Amino acid sequence: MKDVRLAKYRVVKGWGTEQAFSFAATGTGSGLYVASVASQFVYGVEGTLGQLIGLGLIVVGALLTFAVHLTHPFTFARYISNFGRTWIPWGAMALLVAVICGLAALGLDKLASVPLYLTSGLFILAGACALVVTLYPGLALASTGMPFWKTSLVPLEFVTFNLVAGASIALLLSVIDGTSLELLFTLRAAMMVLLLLSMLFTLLHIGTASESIRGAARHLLLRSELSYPFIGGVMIFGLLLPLGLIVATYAVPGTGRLLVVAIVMVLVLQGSLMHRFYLLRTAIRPPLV
Amino acid sequence: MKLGMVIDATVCTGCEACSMACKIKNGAPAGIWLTRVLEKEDGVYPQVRKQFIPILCYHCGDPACLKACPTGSISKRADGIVVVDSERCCGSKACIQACPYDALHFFYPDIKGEFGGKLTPVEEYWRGNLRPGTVMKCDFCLDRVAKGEEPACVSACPTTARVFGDLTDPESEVSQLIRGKRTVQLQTQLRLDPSVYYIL
Repeated sequence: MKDVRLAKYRVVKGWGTEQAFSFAATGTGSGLYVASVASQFVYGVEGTLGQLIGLGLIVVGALLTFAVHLTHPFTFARYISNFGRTWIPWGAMALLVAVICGLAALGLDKLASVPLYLTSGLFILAGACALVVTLYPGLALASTGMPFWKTSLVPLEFVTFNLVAGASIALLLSVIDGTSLELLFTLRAAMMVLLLLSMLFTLLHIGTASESIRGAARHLLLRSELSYPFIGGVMIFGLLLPLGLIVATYAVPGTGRLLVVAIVMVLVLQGSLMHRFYLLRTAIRPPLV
Repeated sequence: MKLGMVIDATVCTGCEACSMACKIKNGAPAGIWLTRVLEKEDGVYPQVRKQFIPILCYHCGDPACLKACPTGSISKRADGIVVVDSERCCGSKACIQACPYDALHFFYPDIKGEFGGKLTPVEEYWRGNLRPGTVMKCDFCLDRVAKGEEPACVSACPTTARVFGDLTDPESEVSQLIRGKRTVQLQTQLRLDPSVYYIL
Protein backbone atom coordinates (compact mmCIF):
# COMPACT_ATOMS: atom_id res chain seq x y z
CA MET A 1 0.00 0.00 0.00
CA LYS A 2 2.83 2.32 0.93
CA ASP A 3 4.54 1.64 -2.39
CA VAL A 4 1.33 2.25 -4.37
CA ARG A 5 1.01 5.72 -2.90
CA LEU A 6 4.49 6.89 -3.82
CA ALA A 7 4.72 9.32 -6.71
CA LYS A 8 6.93 7.35 -9.12
CA TYR A 9 7.14 5.94 -12.64
CA ARG A 10 3.84 4.37 -13.54
CA VAL A 11 3.38 1.22 -15.60
CA VAL A 12 -0.03 1.14 -17.28
CA LYS A 13 -1.50 -2.29 -17.90
CA GLY A 14 -4.62 -1.51 -19.92
CA TRP A 15 -3.50 -3.42 -23.00
CA GLY A 16 -1.60 -6.64 -22.61
CA THR A 17 -1.02 -10.12 -23.97
CA GLU A 18 -4.35 -10.55 -25.74
CA GLN A 19 -3.85 -7.26 -27.59
CA ALA A 20 -0.31 -8.34 -28.56
CA PHE A 21 -1.69 -11.55 -30.08
CA SER A 22 -4.51 -9.68 -31.76
CA PHE A 23 -2.23 -7.02 -33.26
CA ALA A 24 0.23 -9.70 -34.39
CA ALA A 25 -2.47 -11.86 -36.02
CA THR A 26 -4.24 -9.02 -37.85
CA GLY A 27 -0.91 -7.45 -38.82
CA THR A 28 0.64 -10.68 -40.10
CA GLY A 29 -2.54 -11.56 -41.96
CA SER A 30 -2.65 -8.14 -43.59
CA GLY A 31 1.03 -8.34 -44.51
CA LEU A 32 0.50 -11.76 -46.08
CA TYR A 33 -2.56 -10.55 -47.95
CA VAL A 34 -0.68 -7.55 -49.34
CA ALA A 35 2.26 -9.78 -50.36
CA SER A 36 -0.06 -12.33 -52.03
CA VAL A 37 -2.07 -9.71 -53.95
CA ALA A 38 1.14 -8.01 -55.07
CA SER A 39 2.59 -11.37 -56.20
CA GLN A 40 -0.57 -12.08 -58.18
CA PHE A 41 -0.58 -8.70 -59.89
CA VAL A 42 3.15 -8.33 -60.54
CA TYR A 43 4.21 -11.91 -61.29
CA GLY A 44 0.87 -13.50 -62.20
CA VAL A 45 1.37 -16.13 -59.49
CA GLU A 46 -1.73 -17.84 -58.11
CA GLY A 47 -2.12 -16.24 -54.67
CA THR A 48 -5.37 -17.79 -53.45
CA LEU A 49 -3.86 -19.81 -50.62
CA GLY A 50 -1.83 -16.87 -49.29
CA GLN A 51 -4.83 -14.58 -49.52
CA LEU A 52 -7.07 -17.05 -47.72
CA ILE A 53 -4.54 -17.59 -44.91
CA GLY A 54 -4.04 -13.81 -44.69
CA LEU A 55 -7.74 -13.06 -44.44
CA GLY A 56 -8.15 -15.93 -41.98
CA LEU A 57 -5.44 -14.48 -39.73
CA ILE A 58 -7.08 -11.04 -39.89
CA VAL A 59 -10.40 -12.57 -38.83
CA VAL A 60 -8.74 -14.54 -36.00
CA GLY A 61 -7.03 -11.39 -34.69
CA ALA A 62 -10.24 -9.37 -34.88
CA LEU A 63 -12.24 -12.09 -33.15
CA LEU A 64 -9.62 -12.26 -30.42
CA THR A 65 -10.12 -8.57 -29.68
CA PHE A 66 -13.86 -8.91 -30.03
CA ALA A 67 -14.25 -11.95 -27.79
CA VAL A 68 -11.42 -11.59 -25.29
CA HIS A 69 -10.41 -7.95 -24.98
CA LEU A 70 -13.67 -6.04 -25.30
CA THR A 71 -15.95 -6.54 -22.33
CA HIS A 72 -18.95 -5.15 -24.19
CA PRO A 73 -18.11 -6.13 -27.77
CA PHE A 74 -21.47 -5.30 -29.31
CA THR A 75 -20.98 -1.58 -28.66
CA PHE A 76 -18.34 -2.09 -31.38
CA ALA A 77 -21.05 -0.92 -33.81
CA ARG A 78 -20.60 2.58 -32.41
CA TYR A 79 -17.11 2.67 -33.93
CA ILE A 80 -18.80 3.54 -37.21
CA SER A 81 -20.29 6.73 -35.75
CA ASN A 82 -17.06 7.90 -34.22
CA PHE A 83 -14.65 8.57 -37.06
CA GLY A 84 -12.26 11.47 -36.80
CA ARG A 85 -11.30 11.25 -33.12
CA THR A 86 -9.14 8.14 -32.97
CA TRP A 87 -7.51 5.78 -35.46
CA ILE A 88 -9.26 2.73 -34.00
CA PRO A 89 -12.54 3.16 -35.97
CA TRP A 90 -10.51 3.67 -39.16
CA GLY A 91 -8.63 0.46 -38.47
CA ALA A 92 -11.80 -1.47 -37.64
CA MET A 93 -13.47 -0.25 -40.82
CA ALA A 94 -10.39 -1.03 -42.95
CA LEU A 95 -10.28 -4.51 -41.43
CA LEU A 96 -13.93 -5.12 -42.23
CA VAL A 97 -13.60 -3.83 -45.82
CA ALA A 98 -10.39 -5.84 -46.38
CA VAL A 99 -12.06 -9.09 -45.31
CA ILE A 100 -15.33 -8.51 -47.20
CA CYS A 101 -13.71 -7.24 -50.41
CA GLY A 102 -10.92 -9.83 -50.20
CA LEU A 103 -13.38 -12.72 -49.95
CA ALA A 104 -15.62 -11.21 -52.62
CA ALA A 105 -12.66 -10.78 -54.97
CA LEU A 106 -11.57 -14.39 -54.43
CA GLY A 107 -15.10 -15.63 -55.08
CA LEU A 108 -15.69 -13.48 -58.16
CA ASP A 109 -12.25 -14.35 -59.56
CA LYS A 110 -13.42 -17.93 -60.00
CA LEU A 111 -16.42 -16.87 -62.09
CA ALA A 112 -15.60 -16.44 -65.78
CA SER A 113 -18.52 -14.05 -66.43
CA VAL A 114 -17.32 -11.35 -64.02
CA PRO A 115 -15.39 -8.51 -65.72
CA LEU A 116 -11.70 -8.31 -64.85
CA TYR A 117 -11.82 -4.66 -63.79
CA LEU A 118 -14.33 -5.52 -61.03
CA THR A 119 -12.24 -8.28 -59.46
CA SER A 120 -9.04 -6.25 -59.92
CA GLY A 121 -10.71 -3.27 -58.25
CA LEU A 122 -11.82 -5.40 -55.32
CA PHE A 123 -8.34 -6.92 -54.94
CA ILE A 124 -6.75 -3.46 -54.95
CA LEU A 125 -9.30 -2.07 -52.47
CA ALA A 126 -8.82 -5.06 -50.15
CA GLY A 127 -5.03 -4.73 -50.45
CA ALA A 128 -5.14 -1.02 -49.66
CA CYS A 129 -7.35 -1.67 -46.62
CA ALA A 130 -4.99 -4.45 -45.51
CA LEU A 131 -2.15 -1.91 -45.65
CA VAL A 132 -4.19 0.37 -43.35
CA VAL A 133 -4.63 -2.59 -40.98
CA THR A 134 -0.84 -3.01 -40.79
CA LEU A 135 -0.55 0.68 -39.89
CA TYR A 136 -3.48 1.62 -37.64
CA PRO A 137 -2.42 0.00 -34.30
CA GLY A 138 0.83 1.96 -34.53
CA LEU A 139 -1.05 5.19 -35.19
CA ALA A 140 -3.46 4.45 -32.34
CA LEU A 141 -0.58 3.81 -29.93
CA ALA A 142 1.38 6.84 -31.10
CA SER A 143 -1.61 9.12 -30.48
CA THR A 144 -2.03 8.07 -26.83
CA GLY A 145 -0.48 9.94 -23.92
CA MET A 146 2.20 7.29 -23.46
CA PRO A 147 5.55 9.06 -23.81
CA PHE A 148 7.44 6.00 -25.08
CA TRP A 149 4.88 5.42 -27.83
CA LYS A 150 4.40 9.04 -28.80
CA THR A 151 6.63 8.93 -31.87
CA SER A 152 6.07 8.43 -35.60
CA LEU A 153 8.50 5.51 -35.39
CA VAL A 154 5.84 3.32 -33.75
CA PRO A 155 3.56 3.22 -36.85
CA LEU A 156 6.64 2.60 -39.01
CA GLU A 157 7.68 -0.28 -36.75
CA PHE A 158 4.20 -1.77 -37.00
CA VAL A 159 4.18 -1.57 -40.80
CA THR A 160 7.63 -3.10 -41.27
CA PHE A 161 7.14 -5.86 -38.67
CA ASN A 162 3.70 -6.72 -40.12
CA LEU A 163 4.90 -6.75 -43.70
CA VAL A 164 7.98 -8.83 -42.93
CA ALA A 165 5.87 -11.32 -40.95
CA GLY A 166 3.44 -11.61 -43.87
CA ALA A 167 6.27 -11.84 -46.38
CA SER A 168 7.87 -14.69 -44.38
CA ILE A 169 4.74 -16.82 -44.87
CA ALA A 170 4.50 -15.74 -48.52
CA LEU A 171 8.14 -16.77 -48.99
CA LEU A 172 7.48 -20.24 -47.59
CA LEU A 173 4.41 -20.63 -49.84
CA SER A 174 6.45 -19.49 -52.83
CA VAL A 175 9.25 -22.00 -52.09
CA ILE A 176 6.67 -24.80 -51.75
CA ASP A 177 4.98 -23.67 -54.98
CA GLY A 178 8.30 -23.19 -56.76
CA THR A 179 6.78 -21.79 -59.99
CA SER A 180 8.32 -18.32 -60.00
CA LEU A 181 12.00 -17.75 -59.34
CA GLU A 182 11.52 -13.99 -59.82
CA LEU A 183 8.96 -13.92 -57.02
CA LEU A 184 11.29 -15.88 -54.75
CA PHE A 185 14.09 -13.43 -55.48
CA THR A 186 11.85 -10.41 -54.87
CA LEU A 187 10.40 -11.76 -51.63
CA ARG A 188 13.85 -12.52 -50.23
CA ALA A 189 15.10 -9.05 -51.17
CA ALA A 190 11.97 -7.44 -49.70
CA MET A 191 12.36 -9.42 -46.48
CA MET A 192 15.98 -8.37 -46.09
CA VAL A 193 15.06 -4.71 -46.56
CA LEU A 194 12.10 -4.98 -44.18
CA LEU A 195 14.15 -6.79 -41.52
CA LEU A 196 16.81 -4.09 -41.70
CA LEU A 197 14.18 -1.34 -41.52
CA SER A 198 12.47 -3.03 -38.55
CA MET A 199 15.81 -3.17 -36.77
CA LEU A 200 16.59 0.45 -37.62
CA PHE A 201 13.20 1.78 -36.49
CA THR A 202 13.30 -0.22 -33.23
CA LEU A 203 16.80 1.00 -32.36
CA LEU A 204 15.93 4.58 -33.30
CA HIS A 205 12.78 4.35 -31.16
CA ILE A 206 14.75 3.37 -28.07
CA GLY A 207 17.55 5.80 -28.82
CA THR A 208 15.33 8.82 -29.36
CA ALA A 209 12.84 8.33 -26.50
CA SER A 210 12.29 11.55 -24.56
CA GLU A 211 14.76 12.31 -21.77
CA SER A 212 12.27 11.73 -18.94
CA ILE A 213 11.19 8.32 -20.12
CA ARG A 214 14.36 6.97 -21.72
CA GLY A 215 15.89 5.73 -18.51
CA ALA A 216 12.76 3.92 -17.40
CA ALA A 217 12.16 2.44 -20.86
CA ARG A 218 15.76 1.27 -21.15
CA HIS A 219 15.55 -0.25 -17.70
CA LEU A 220 12.37 -2.10 -18.66
CA LEU A 221 13.76 -3.36 -21.97
CA LEU A 222 17.34 -4.09 -21.02
CA ARG A 223 17.42 -4.85 -17.30
CA SER A 224 14.06 -6.25 -16.31
CA GLU A 225 12.10 -9.41 -17.07
CA LEU A 226 11.42 -7.89 -20.51
CA SER A 227 15.06 -8.07 -21.56
CA TYR A 228 14.82 -11.72 -22.71
CA PRO A 229 11.79 -11.27 -24.99
CA PHE A 230 13.20 -8.00 -26.28
CA ILE A 231 16.91 -8.64 -26.84
CA GLY A 232 16.58 -12.36 -27.49
CA GLY A 233 13.12 -12.71 -28.99
CA VAL A 234 12.95 -9.56 -31.07
CA MET A 235 16.43 -8.30 -31.86
CA ILE A 236 18.45 -11.54 -32.16
CA PHE A 237 16.02 -14.38 -32.98
CA GLY A 238 13.38 -12.19 -34.60
CA LEU A 239 15.51 -9.93 -36.79
CA LEU A 240 19.25 -10.71 -36.92
CA LEU A 241 19.12 -14.50 -37.25
CA PRO A 242 16.38 -14.51 -39.92
CA LEU A 243 18.41 -11.95 -41.87
CA GLY A 244 21.44 -14.26 -41.81
CA LEU A 245 19.34 -17.29 -42.70
CA ILE A 246 17.77 -15.54 -45.70
CA VAL A 247 21.22 -14.77 -47.00
CA ALA A 248 22.03 -18.45 -46.46
CA THR A 249 19.07 -19.54 -48.63
CA TYR A 250 20.97 -18.32 -51.69
CA ALA A 251 23.50 -21.08 -51.07
CA VAL A 252 21.12 -23.84 -49.95
CA PRO A 253 19.15 -25.64 -52.69
CA GLY A 254 16.06 -27.91 -52.66
CA THR A 255 14.70 -29.37 -49.41
CA GLY A 256 17.35 -27.62 -47.35
CA ARG A 257 16.08 -24.27 -48.63
CA LEU A 258 12.51 -25.17 -47.68
CA LEU A 259 13.66 -26.03 -44.16
CA VAL A 260 15.65 -22.80 -43.81
CA VAL A 261 12.72 -20.72 -45.07
CA ALA A 262 10.38 -22.50 -42.63
CA ILE A 263 12.77 -21.69 -39.76
CA VAL A 264 12.96 -18.07 -40.94
CA MET A 265 9.16 -17.88 -40.91
CA VAL A 266 8.88 -19.26 -37.37
CA LEU A 267 11.60 -16.89 -36.12
CA VAL A 268 10.11 -13.83 -37.81
CA LEU A 269 6.60 -14.61 -36.58
CA GLN A 270 7.73 -15.01 -32.99
CA GLY A 271 9.83 -11.84 -33.29
CA SER A 272 6.85 -9.94 -34.61
CA LEU A 273 4.67 -11.16 -31.73
CA MET A 274 7.36 -10.36 -29.16
CA HIS A 275 7.68 -6.88 -30.63
CA ARG A 276 4.00 -6.14 -29.90
CA PHE A 277 4.36 -7.74 -26.51
CA TYR A 278 7.36 -5.68 -25.42
CA LEU A 279 5.93 -2.50 -26.88
CA LEU A 280 2.65 -2.86 -24.97
CA ARG A 281 4.55 -3.67 -21.79
CA THR A 282 6.54 -0.44 -22.06
CA ALA A 283 3.46 1.63 -21.30
CA ILE A 284 5.29 3.76 -18.75
CA ARG A 285 4.77 7.31 -17.64
CA PRO A 286 6.97 9.61 -15.60
CA PRO A 287 5.85 10.54 -12.06
CA LEU A 288 2.96 13.01 -11.95
CA VAL A 289 4.88 15.32 -9.65
CA MET B 1 -18.85 28.07 -16.93
CA LYS B 2 -15.81 25.88 -16.36
CA LEU B 3 -15.84 23.95 -13.12
CA GLY B 4 -12.51 23.20 -11.56
CA MET B 5 -10.58 22.70 -8.36
CA VAL B 6 -7.63 24.15 -6.54
CA ILE B 7 -5.77 21.75 -4.26
CA ASP B 8 -3.51 23.25 -1.63
CA ALA B 9 -0.96 20.46 -1.19
CA THR B 10 0.83 22.51 1.48
CA VAL B 11 -2.03 21.91 3.92
CA CYS B 12 -2.94 18.34 2.87
CA THR B 13 -2.10 15.92 5.68
CA GLY B 14 -2.63 12.77 3.61
CA CYS B 15 -5.49 11.59 5.81
CA GLU B 16 -7.33 10.11 2.79
CA ALA B 17 -10.70 11.41 4.03
CA CYS B 18 -11.30 12.57 0.43
CA SER B 19 -10.52 9.10 -0.93
CA MET B 20 -12.93 7.46 1.52
CA ALA B 21 -15.68 10.03 0.93
CA CYS B 22 -15.36 9.45 -2.82
CA LYS B 23 -15.38 5.70 -2.36
CA ILE B 24 -18.56 5.85 -0.29
CA LYS B 25 -20.26 8.35 -2.58
CA ASN B 26 -19.48 6.56 -5.85
CA GLY B 27 -19.28 2.94 -4.72
CA ALA B 28 -15.99 2.34 -6.52
CA PRO B 29 -15.17 -1.39 -6.39
CA ALA B 30 -12.17 -2.80 -4.50
CA GLY B 31 -8.86 -1.49 -5.79
CA ILE B 32 -10.42 1.45 -7.62
CA TRP B 33 -9.88 4.90 -6.16
CA LEU B 34 -11.35 7.72 -8.23
CA THR B 35 -9.35 10.08 -6.07
CA ARG B 36 -6.33 9.17 -3.98
CA VAL B 37 -3.37 10.79 -2.30
CA LEU B 38 0.18 10.37 -3.56
CA GLU B 39 3.22 10.83 -1.37
CA LYS B 40 6.35 12.57 -2.52
CA GLU B 41 9.60 12.71 -0.62
CA ASP B 42 12.13 15.42 -1.37
CA GLY B 43 15.64 16.23 -0.19
CA VAL B 44 18.45 14.41 1.55
CA TYR B 45 18.49 13.62 5.28
CA PRO B 46 18.29 15.68 7.45
CA GLN B 47 16.87 18.25 5.01
CA VAL B 48 13.85 16.22 3.94
CA ARG B 49 10.23 16.95 3.23
CA LYS B 50 7.21 14.77 2.66
CA GLN B 51 4.39 16.12 0.59
CA PHE B 52 0.90 14.74 -0.03
CA ILE B 53 -0.61 15.29 -3.43
CA PRO B 54 -4.29 14.39 -3.89
CA ILE B 55 -5.00 13.28 -7.45
CA LEU B 56 -8.23 12.78 -9.37
CA CYS B 57 -9.56 13.30 -12.90
CA TYR B 58 -8.40 16.72 -14.05
CA HIS B 59 -11.34 17.32 -16.41
CA CYS B 60 -8.97 18.62 -19.05
CA GLY B 61 -9.91 21.36 -21.46
CA ASP B 62 -8.66 19.12 -24.26
CA PRO B 63 -9.15 15.61 -22.85
CA ALA B 64 -6.91 12.88 -24.26
CA CYS B 65 -9.38 10.21 -23.10
CA LEU B 66 -12.18 11.75 -25.13
CA LYS B 67 -10.07 11.67 -28.29
CA ALA B 68 -9.01 8.07 -27.70
CA CYS B 69 -12.46 6.60 -27.04
CA PRO B 70 -13.50 4.61 -30.11
CA THR B 71 -17.22 4.52 -29.24
CA GLY B 72 -17.68 8.15 -28.23
CA SER B 73 -18.74 7.21 -24.71
CA ILE B 74 -16.66 10.02 -23.19
CA SER B 75 -17.95 13.56 -23.53
CA LYS B 76 -17.26 17.00 -22.12
CA ARG B 77 -20.23 18.91 -20.74
CA ALA B 78 -20.77 22.63 -21.14
CA ASP B 79 -19.64 23.14 -17.54
CA GLY B 80 -16.30 21.45 -18.33
CA ILE B 81 -16.97 18.14 -16.56
CA VAL B 82 -15.74 15.12 -18.52
CA VAL B 83 -18.15 12.20 -18.15
CA VAL B 84 -18.26 8.55 -19.22
CA ASP B 85 -21.49 7.03 -20.50
CA SER B 86 -21.00 3.47 -19.33
CA GLU B 87 -23.85 2.23 -21.53
CA ARG B 88 -21.80 3.18 -24.60
CA CYS B 89 -18.42 1.95 -23.30
CA CYS B 90 -17.11 -1.16 -25.10
CA GLY B 91 -14.25 -1.76 -22.64
CA SER B 92 -11.42 -1.20 -25.12
CA LYS B 93 -9.37 0.59 -22.41
CA ALA B 94 -8.04 2.99 -25.07
CA CYS B 95 -8.87 5.92 -22.76
CA ILE B 96 -6.83 4.35 -19.94
CA GLN B 97 -3.81 4.20 -22.25
CA ALA B 98 -4.41 7.76 -23.39
CA CYS B 99 -4.89 9.59 -20.09
CA PRO B 100 -1.48 10.77 -18.85
CA TYR B 101 -2.88 11.31 -15.34
CA ASP B 102 -4.08 7.71 -14.82
CA ALA B 103 -7.50 9.11 -13.97
CA LEU B 104 -9.54 6.36 -15.60
CA HIS B 105 -10.04 2.97 -14.00
CA PHE B 106 -11.34 -0.24 -15.43
CA PHE B 107 -14.07 -2.02 -13.50
CA TYR B 108 -13.08 -5.61 -14.18
CA PRO B 109 -16.18 -7.82 -13.93
CA ASP B 110 -14.34 -10.29 -11.69
CA ILE B 111 -13.27 -7.75 -9.03
CA LYS B 112 -13.99 -9.18 -5.60
CA GLY B 113 -15.30 -7.29 -2.57
CA GLU B 114 -13.13 -5.13 -0.32
CA PHE B 115 -13.20 -7.88 2.31
CA GLY B 116 -12.68 -10.92 0.10
CA GLY B 117 -15.09 -12.93 -2.00
CA LYS B 118 -18.41 -12.01 -0.38
CA LEU B 119 -19.79 -8.58 -1.12
CA THR B 120 -21.04 -6.38 1.68
CA PRO B 121 -24.65 -5.08 1.37
CA VAL B 122 -23.28 -1.69 0.31
CA GLU B 123 -21.11 -3.30 -2.38
CA GLU B 124 -24.05 -5.38 -3.57
CA TYR B 125 -26.09 -2.20 -3.90
CA TRP B 126 -23.37 -0.55 -5.97
CA ARG B 127 -22.77 -3.63 -8.14
CA GLY B 128 -26.41 -3.34 -9.14
CA ASN B 129 -25.96 0.30 -10.10
CA LEU B 130 -22.58 0.18 -11.82
CA ARG B 131 -21.86 -1.52 -15.14
CA PRO B 132 -18.98 -4.01 -14.86
CA GLY B 133 -16.53 -4.18 -17.75
CA THR B 134 -16.55 -0.43 -18.29
CA VAL B 135 -14.41 2.53 -17.36
CA MET B 136 -14.96 4.59 -14.21
CA LYS B 137 -13.72 8.07 -13.47
CA CYS B 138 -14.32 11.06 -11.22
CA ASP B 139 -17.21 13.21 -12.47
CA PHE B 140 -16.85 15.91 -9.80
CA CYS B 141 -19.92 14.27 -8.12
CA LEU B 142 -22.25 15.37 -10.89
CA ASP B 143 -25.45 14.83 -8.91
CA ARG B 144 -24.18 16.83 -5.93
CA VAL B 145 -23.00 19.65 -8.19
CA ALA B 146 -26.43 19.73 -9.86
CA LYS B 147 -27.94 20.33 -6.41
CA GLY B 148 -25.51 23.16 -5.77
CA GLU B 149 -23.34 21.09 -3.43
CA GLU B 150 -19.60 20.52 -3.55
CA PRO B 151 -18.06 17.19 -4.60
CA ALA B 152 -17.82 14.67 -1.75
CA CYS B 153 -14.02 14.90 -1.56
CA VAL B 154 -14.18 18.68 -1.10
CA SER B 155 -16.79 18.47 1.66
CA ALA B 156 -14.84 15.74 3.45
CA CYS B 157 -11.46 17.48 3.52
CA PRO B 158 -10.72 18.46 7.16
CA THR B 159 -8.04 20.98 6.21
CA THR B 160 -9.98 22.57 3.31
CA ALA B 161 -7.13 21.67 1.02
CA ARG B 162 -9.59 21.24 -1.83
CA VAL B 163 -11.56 24.22 -3.15
CA PHE B 164 -14.15 23.74 -5.89
CA GLY B 165 -15.79 26.33 -8.11
CA ASP B 166 -16.20 28.07 -11.43
CA LEU B 167 -12.85 28.90 -13.00
CA THR B 168 -14.43 31.45 -15.36
CA ASP B 169 -16.05 33.45 -12.55
CA PRO B 170 -13.45 36.01 -11.39
CA GLU B 171 -15.21 36.30 -7.99
CA SER B 172 -15.13 32.57 -7.22
CA GLU B 173 -12.75 31.30 -4.55
CA VAL B 174 -10.89 29.11 -7.05
CA SER B 175 -10.28 32.06 -9.38
CA GLN B 176 -9.07 34.19 -6.50
CA LEU B 177 -6.71 31.43 -5.35
CA ILE B 178 -5.34 31.01 -8.87
CA ARG B 179 -4.82 34.78 -9.14
CA GLY B 180 -3.46 35.26 -5.64
CA LYS B 181 -1.22 32.26 -5.07
CA ARG B 182 1.34 30.45 -7.17
CA THR B 183 -0.75 27.64 -8.57
CA VAL B 184 0.39 25.08 -11.10
CA GLN B 185 -1.25 22.58 -13.40
CA LEU B 186 0.43 19.17 -13.63
CA GLN B 187 2.29 18.13 -16.78
CA THR B 188 1.54 21.32 -18.71
CA GLN B 189 3.89 20.22 -21.49
CA LEU B 190 1.10 17.89 -22.64
CA ARG B 191 -1.13 20.93 -23.37
CA LEU B 192 -4.30 19.25 -22.09
CA ASP B 193 -5.32 22.24 -19.95
CA PRO B 194 -6.36 20.39 -16.77
CA SER B 195 -9.05 22.09 -14.65
CA VAL B 196 -7.33 21.16 -11.39
CA TYR B 197 -4.66 23.51 -10.04
CA TYR B 198 -2.17 22.84 -7.27
CA ILE B 199 -0.49 24.96 -4.65
CA LEU B 200 2.70 22.96 -4.09
